[in-house]
Amino acid sequence: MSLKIKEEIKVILEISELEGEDITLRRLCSMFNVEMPSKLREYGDLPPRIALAIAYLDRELRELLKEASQDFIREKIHGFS
Amino acid sequence: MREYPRMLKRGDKFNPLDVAKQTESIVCKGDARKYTAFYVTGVYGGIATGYVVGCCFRCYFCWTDFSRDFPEAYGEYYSAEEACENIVKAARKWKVNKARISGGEPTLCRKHLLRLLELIEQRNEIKLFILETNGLLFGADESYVKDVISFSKVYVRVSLKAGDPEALEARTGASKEFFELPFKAIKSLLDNNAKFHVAAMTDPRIMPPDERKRLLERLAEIDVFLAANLEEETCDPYEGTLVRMQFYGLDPLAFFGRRK
Repeated sequence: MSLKIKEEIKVILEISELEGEDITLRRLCSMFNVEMPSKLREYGDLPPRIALAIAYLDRELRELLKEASQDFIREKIHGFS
Repeated sequence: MREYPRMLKRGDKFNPLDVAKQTESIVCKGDARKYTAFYVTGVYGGIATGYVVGCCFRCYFCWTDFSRDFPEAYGEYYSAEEACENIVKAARKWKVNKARISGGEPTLCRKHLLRLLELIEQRNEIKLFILETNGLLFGADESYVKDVISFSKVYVRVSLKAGDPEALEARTGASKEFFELPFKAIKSLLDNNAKFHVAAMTDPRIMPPDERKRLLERLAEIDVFLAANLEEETCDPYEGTLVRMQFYGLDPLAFFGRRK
């Protein structure tokens, strides 16, 4: 998988912690100057968490999201100790 | 009928499936359900909302109005057709294309919800229907999950209240034996390829860090993406919250940092 896309998705997971519901994914990425992976563009008009959850049902995106999630959650849980 | 639970006091506990039935006997009539209002709010970037009466949990931090605790005293019955019309009318007025029912637990009154979703499915004005649930009734009956997600516009948000059984009982009044049901709901949604994400009341003033960590680990065991996409909720000082906290024995001023 592309390391770049995985990193971009991980950043989107991070910024969704700040605002994941009340603005669109496109707006969130633009606010934080984050490049939205082209594979996620069709979901850009949805709130970020909803966009990611629907993208997760796409077989191709599922693996990308899963790998980015593993890194993200490892760091998040590590932050507790 | 057992005494109906209202605002939570420390040590209260009940069978939430019984409370769901008790509540349904008050807020459902045929395919009609009690609502107090229809409006549009800014969450989700703008969403038409039908405010329903009645819940099967009694969270002390709950933001909703007092119709949760006194469902007999609030709301009017609306058929699914009337509710749909009111939701669509609000959506059209404010030019939004998302809808939900909120305030109470939307999965109470199954007949009403399924008919409402059927009607929403036929309306071009609504593109997405966000079903915010505590997951209890979905966990108790997988066929309910399958019925609901058969509608293409449905998106589910399961809101967890605790990371362990004792905390669930202390915060919501729902007996700890029912702790697994919302997780069963999550597994059913996952197994059935539903569009959904999980939320949790992880506000550190309510959920200690070790419990939050266990909750994240539990979700990651089910599916790592669910844990990564977790919506972590915070508690805000709504009127209902302030009164419920006092009733529970917490000082809301201290809780919200206004008194030492």
